[in-house]
Amino acid sequence: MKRLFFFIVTLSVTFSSFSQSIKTALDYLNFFNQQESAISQKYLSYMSESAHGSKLRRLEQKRKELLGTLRAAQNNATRLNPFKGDTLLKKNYESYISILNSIFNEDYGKIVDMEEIAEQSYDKMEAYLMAQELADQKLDEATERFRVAFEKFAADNSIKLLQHEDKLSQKLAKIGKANQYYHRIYLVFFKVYKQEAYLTDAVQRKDVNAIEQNRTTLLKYAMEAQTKLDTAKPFQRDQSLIMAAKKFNQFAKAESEKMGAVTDYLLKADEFDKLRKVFEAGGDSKSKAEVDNYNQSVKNINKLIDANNQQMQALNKGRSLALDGWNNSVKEFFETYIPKE
Amino acid sequence: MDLIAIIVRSILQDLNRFITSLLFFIPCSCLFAQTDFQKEAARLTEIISTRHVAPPTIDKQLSKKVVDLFLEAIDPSKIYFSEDDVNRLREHEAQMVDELKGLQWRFVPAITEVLKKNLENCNRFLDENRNVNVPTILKQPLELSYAPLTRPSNEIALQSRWKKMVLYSVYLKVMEQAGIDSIKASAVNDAYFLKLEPAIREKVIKAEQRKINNLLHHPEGFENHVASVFLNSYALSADPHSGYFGSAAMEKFMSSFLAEGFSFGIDLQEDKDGAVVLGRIVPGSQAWRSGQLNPGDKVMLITSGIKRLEIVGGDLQEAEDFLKDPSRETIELLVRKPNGTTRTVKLRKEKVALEENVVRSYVLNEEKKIGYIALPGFYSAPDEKTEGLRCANDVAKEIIKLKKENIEGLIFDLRNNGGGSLQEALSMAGIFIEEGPLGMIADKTGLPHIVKDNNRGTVYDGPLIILVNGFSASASEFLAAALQDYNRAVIVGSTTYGKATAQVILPLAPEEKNEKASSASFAKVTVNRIYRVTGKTAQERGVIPDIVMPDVIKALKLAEAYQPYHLRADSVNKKVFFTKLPPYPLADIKRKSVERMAKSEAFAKTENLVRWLAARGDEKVVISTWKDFVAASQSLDEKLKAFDDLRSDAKFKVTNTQQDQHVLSADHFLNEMNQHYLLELQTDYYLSECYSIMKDLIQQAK
Repeated sequence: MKRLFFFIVTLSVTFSSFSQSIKTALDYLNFFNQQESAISQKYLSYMSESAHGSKLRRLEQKRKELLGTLRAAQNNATRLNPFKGDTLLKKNYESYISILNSIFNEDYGKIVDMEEIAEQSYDKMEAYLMAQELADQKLDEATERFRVAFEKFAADNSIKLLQHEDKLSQKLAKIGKANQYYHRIYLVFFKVYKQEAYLTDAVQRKDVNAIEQNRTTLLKYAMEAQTKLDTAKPFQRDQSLIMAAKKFNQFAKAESEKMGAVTDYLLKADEFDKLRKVFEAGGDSKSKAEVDNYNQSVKNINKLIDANNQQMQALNKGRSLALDGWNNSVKEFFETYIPKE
Repeated sequence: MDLIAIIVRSILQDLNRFITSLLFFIPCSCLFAQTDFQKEAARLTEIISTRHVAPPTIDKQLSKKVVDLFLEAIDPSKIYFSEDDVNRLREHEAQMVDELKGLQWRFVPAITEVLKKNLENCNRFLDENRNVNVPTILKQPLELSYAPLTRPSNEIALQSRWKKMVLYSVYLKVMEQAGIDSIKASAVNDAYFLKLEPAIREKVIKAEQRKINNLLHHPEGFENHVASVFLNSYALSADPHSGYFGSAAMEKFMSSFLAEGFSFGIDLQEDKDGAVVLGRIVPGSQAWRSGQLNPGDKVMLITSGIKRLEIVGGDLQEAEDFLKDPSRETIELLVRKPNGTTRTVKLRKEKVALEENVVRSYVLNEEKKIGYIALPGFYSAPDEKTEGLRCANDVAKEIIKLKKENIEGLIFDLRNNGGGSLQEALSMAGIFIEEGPLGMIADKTGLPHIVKDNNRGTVYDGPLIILVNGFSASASEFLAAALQDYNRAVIVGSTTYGKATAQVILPLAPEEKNEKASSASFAKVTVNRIYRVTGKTAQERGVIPDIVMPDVIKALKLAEAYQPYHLRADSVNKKVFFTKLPPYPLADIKRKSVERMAKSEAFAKTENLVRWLAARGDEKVVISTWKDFVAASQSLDEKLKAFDDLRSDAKFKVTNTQQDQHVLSADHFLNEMNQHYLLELQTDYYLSECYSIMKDLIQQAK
């Protein structure tokens, strides 16, 4: 998604004259210019709403409008005739706009081999991120091919392209920069966040195997993320996203270290369960020592249950705080850096 | 004789495990009725041809296979059909193609008729010979060998086979009784034989007649049973793990599956006088809680509703069958205490935790502390208490306990592990492997599908040995193969069984499942082939260990590759992305292991036994008198004595983890079993060699 805006900015060209129907080479180029302007406008409108608006329905409306414009642009591109037999520009534009459509619709299967991605990646989330990355690459390539064809067409038809920046393109450039920065920090945050969710799920299932595997992986990921965040540059001297991601990271690191106690607790609970069964099966013929021993075990396990409950509550609180911190920082970041429509 | 008996018993237990491995169970509750087998054959053909991973072509060759399998299944001892009978039946083979497709139904009715006639003849023969003494001097010598039996040529030869069968059984039983009574060899003379012969002859004849009657009055109905065996043979011609369950067989199969773990909490055994007595009383069971029963109590009478089983003179098998019958939920047990008093105790079948089925861990202490975990099966029976968690979780817990003991290496024992849930095998691999694909599964389209572990990370990343043998099958082989392909573990032991397929159980007529008629039958079908992450397979060839040890099981030729019509090994060509670990440097470690085994008396004995088992097919003994038989038995005993006591004391000391010790000190029964396990491990020479290999691995890593 982030790539779109670079292209739109560079495409903001002006021509020496303009007419309604496509008769001349200049009209032909202008067709693309108009298409891209319409998409840019809708995109700005959508992003502005998402950063500054408060109504979900309105945001959804804006999203639908953007998708509608993209669809219309693709249809127009299909209907467009080659200019005097020159198919290169049309062909490259069609390919570019089709990839753009798929990316906005998150329909990556049309661009990349999802099955191969699924087999190469560890889980659905990794597959999704990998698909996004590969789709971005494809868009990059298609954009570049379109740019070259566009410039060649202009040169072949002796049209001079003048680059200038109007207000729209300036705003889009700002959005592009903010988005790109957010995406970079988000990926570092997200890997730890997802791994933490796997761990929480394992704890809920009391699956010691999964707890142990996921907690060591969480620790590893948190350390990796720490190094990345330590070297990440602030956005226009704004450290807020980095700090919020670091806070969540600290929580995750602490949690993975404390989870050893949860495993211990589950093993002790198992042990007590066995003792209880033996004791209950024993009938009335128990010695005083057996009864005393058992009572002591009950006391011990009750203490452990208490301690474990307290720890789980503390962890839940810590998680909520860290996540709220991250979400608020993201909201503020977009409010600050995404320009209004 | 004992060793072979032990081997055979363990084989049967393991084969039972195979039956329940890698299956999906579909519960059913349909009433049994007369089945239209012609229709059943057509349906079975439909299912095999559409679902089987490699459906056979229905032609003349297949017909021959089916008939061979059927004869082997219905008459394994070659005592009910003569060669003449078989030749007459083979005339139907030409039309068998139509039979299998369900277009006609002549072969099975014809064979059923012949079988019935021959069974009745045999029964009559036994009656006629009930009062005929088995002599000490034989008119016709008896030839004993380990070679496969040939089929008697005609009716007269068949009768002669029956005569020899009675004679051999009586000789064998008298010899066994002498063993039980600890009679000296010199005293096992003609007089001893003549004294015991009448009673034992009666027992032998009764047992043979019971076998015949069990067939003729099969609970499924005789005709239905023969037809079911035929259809099962047909399924077996596709591969050894496919099968057919008629309505009654399926109900029995299902209830035995559902009843798994349900018992009265008592084990029966025979005492030295041949009487049926109580063996183990399972702690926590009702029998145990009653406080009225003790091991050694003589069982006199078992009643269940209107059914009574008087145990006079003792028939262990009959008593065990009575208890195992899934329809008996409560029984009344009359026992005689050693002091002569009697007790009547009411018992109800309950789910009893089978301790021996659970994963166990120990610490092997000598120079190094090494962890040891034994896993008997990849169990995954859903249980509310464990919230759906299975053996992989149990193994992870044991590893955590062992890590607290500061172990430097881990030996994971998969010997005699017949498999089970593939999902558990995946989770188990995840304990040792960071992440990545673990293998592939393909159906009849041949398109492989990658399978992975659900969790990133490991629970244990230290040195690892997987110990396997010829009975490590299915899920065990999958795990061993994955860990070998990743260079994660050193595989030690002998080549594994070679089953890399998965089965499902499908109703033959799903559209009729709510009707009472012929809808309750099922087919077990091999629907998937399983591949290693390299695209190769453990099917047929098994997993070949990195360090090989001699193994008796191999000589018994029971592996997948010896099963008739097993699926051949193949491979898939698919690019799989996975990161191998650096290989263990094994050359030096292997050399040292070979040197140690060459010096070990136990391994030398094992090698000798393997050689003897492989060669004994050619051995023949001719018996003309009771004396000859005694001499032959003694000579076999002598031979087996050389392989007896295949144990050797290990240098390490086996102990429990600290956490287990808490439970053991409170649970007397568990502790008793534990002492038994400790002793077993302490003298297990395979484990002892594994420990030495592990020491070398750790040493080399430094």
